[in-house]
Amino acid sequence: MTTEVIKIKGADLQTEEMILNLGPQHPSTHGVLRVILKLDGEVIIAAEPEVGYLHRGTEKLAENRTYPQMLVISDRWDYLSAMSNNLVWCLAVEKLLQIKPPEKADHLRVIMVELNRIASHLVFFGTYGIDIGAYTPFLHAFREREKILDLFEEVSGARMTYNYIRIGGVMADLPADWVGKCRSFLEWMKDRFPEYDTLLTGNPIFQDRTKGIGVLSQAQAITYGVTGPNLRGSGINFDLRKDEPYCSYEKFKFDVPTGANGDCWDRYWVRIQEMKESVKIVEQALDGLPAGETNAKVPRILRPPMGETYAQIEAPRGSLGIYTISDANDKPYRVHVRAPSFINLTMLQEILVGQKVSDVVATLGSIDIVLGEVDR
Amino acid sequence: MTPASLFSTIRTHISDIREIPAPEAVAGAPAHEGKPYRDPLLFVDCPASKWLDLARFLKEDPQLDFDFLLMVTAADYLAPAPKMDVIYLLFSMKHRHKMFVKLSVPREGASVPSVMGLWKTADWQEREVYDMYGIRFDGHLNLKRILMWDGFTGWPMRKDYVHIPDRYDD
Amino acid sequence: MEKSVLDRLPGIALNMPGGKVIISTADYFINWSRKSSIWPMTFGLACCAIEMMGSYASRFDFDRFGVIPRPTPRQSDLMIIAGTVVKKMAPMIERLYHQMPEPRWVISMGACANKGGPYYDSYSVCKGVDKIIPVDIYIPGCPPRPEALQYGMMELMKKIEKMSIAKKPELPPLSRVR
Repeated sequence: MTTEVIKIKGADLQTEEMILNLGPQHPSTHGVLRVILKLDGEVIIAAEPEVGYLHRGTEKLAENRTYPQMLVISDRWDYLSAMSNNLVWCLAVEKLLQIKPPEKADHLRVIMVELNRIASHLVFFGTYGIDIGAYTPFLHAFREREKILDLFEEVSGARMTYNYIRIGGVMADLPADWVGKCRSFLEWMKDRFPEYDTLLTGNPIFQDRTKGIGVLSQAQAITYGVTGPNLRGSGINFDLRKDEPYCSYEKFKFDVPTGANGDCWDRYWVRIQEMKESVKIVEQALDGLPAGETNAKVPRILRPPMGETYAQIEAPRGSLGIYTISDANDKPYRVHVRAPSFINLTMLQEILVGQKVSDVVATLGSIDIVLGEVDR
Repeated sequence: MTPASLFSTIRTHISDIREIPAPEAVAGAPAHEGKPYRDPLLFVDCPASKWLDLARFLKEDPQLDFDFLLMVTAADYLAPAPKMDVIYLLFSMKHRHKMFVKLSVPREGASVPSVMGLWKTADWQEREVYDMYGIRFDGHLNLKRILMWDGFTGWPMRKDYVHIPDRYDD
Repeated sequence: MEKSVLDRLPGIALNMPGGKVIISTADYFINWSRKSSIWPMTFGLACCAIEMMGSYASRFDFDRFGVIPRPTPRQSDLMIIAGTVVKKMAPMIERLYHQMPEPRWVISMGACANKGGPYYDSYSVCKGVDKIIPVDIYIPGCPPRPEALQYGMMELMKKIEKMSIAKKPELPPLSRVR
């Protein structure tokens, strides 16, 4: 019996565009993000992210909190790298107060921020694996992360919202055997990178799902204000730690990895390389740890002089900035957080157009947003 | 380019701009407050009607080349004179210099031209300023609330915002 | 609508002499199976979600309690509200709660979900998720350690042990101020 092959010509079909709601509650949206997708079959025509489901109004709260009290709130913007948030708030207030922390405090700040960068990129690594469909790297990543959180718990008392970097320095000096534990962790971490390569980086399925997907060109990256590993994944070498060094970063030798094509694979690869560079920086900082005071002299009630300032650092997600206006009171007049995840998320509207629905999750995961920062 | 040469280059093109002077010390302030803090960056004040010209000049002039809009925000002042400031922070990837531009607008019925056509990052940041302060941006293609929900009335970040407790508050 | 065996059993057994033994034996096994396989819905909102993920991960394994995260509310027993409840998100939380089949429980994890937390004076934060849905267990902390979440889960298991098919479960009250 011969089978008849019926050819359907496209002109006969009436297709409509479909609106798919990737709702606020979804296992892969990394928090409460809503993306409204307009689809033509499987191809995306338009994507509109909707944010605000975690808007806690911290900029208004800042008008009612003193400068040290804002440190507690600052922990919770990008909760995966709370040390960076603390650091940028302290840098802004120290600029206004015109005090400089001692050298030991700078080294300690660099150690904590780089360890936090490793922890944050580990969460990216684990959750990106889950997004693509690999469940095992998540367990490996969190095993490493627990070791870092142990180190942080000894130093500051908390696992995730540290409040360790204070205005004028750090909270307290390191405990007695912390340096030894940190070094043994770094040795352990260096052996893990080949393990991650076999788990995810070298996996052909992972490479197929991320290479050539979600391409962000250099011109697009600049006009969308993208910073951080997303910008470096597109090939632009811009890292605030090298270009506008703060906190004595100019003393440390490290490379800035950049990608070639600007697709999801490059953004992922840049973050894995950044973890290796962070290990190098922590080793150098531990080797050169000076003796001395950990805190500059800071008055009990902080009243910065009148003025405004902008301080920025290279957070794991991009360039995090704080713009403060002070009116010589003990509470700030205006605080604005230049949140990298909020600004990086706008590029989703353009890079998703023309992709298939099955690539939405891979693209969204590669931008590595944290909703606490997007909505503040 | 140093702030002084930036200012003189801009001044040749648009003459309405002034440099914002350093803040004055508060009279009778205790000794610790010291001098007011003057940030080394260039702060420039521009009237709202000339903003689009200035923005285009800043982006396209090859000596200035501000291709990166870092931040768009606003601030509300009730004293000494009621006004709102829209604040832009620009950065040049090529020359690596930064500058602030501030626009003073009245508190009611304020309207500022949108620079969404020049820097796409202004899209969401201007929506946030609209959502929090109520400043309209002319020429913005999608000016609606972004952080608060759609039916919300009031501009939360204004200094005279009074919060009406609803069923979710204590 | 046809009633299941569990619905009809108390009516039949309580009329028999010694029927309470049947109820209590049935209760023992039903509660044991319910508490040993609580499947929460993954509902992480903010920072507490990361500690919740940490408690599912290698060191503080939740699977040894029988707890497996389910992405959909239709197949889960428990909703762990981990993070700040913002007024924009509150109607979705109510809708998700109503989509869960009974018996269902709610754990409010962290200071923000308990009573607003560090954002107690914010204009856009719901001061406690118990204004919207009834909460069974409150876990304090900012964020609570994974061990605290697991202790809260064990307290929920003790609460489940006290349930009985002979009486309707009573919902905890909403703390809504009129």
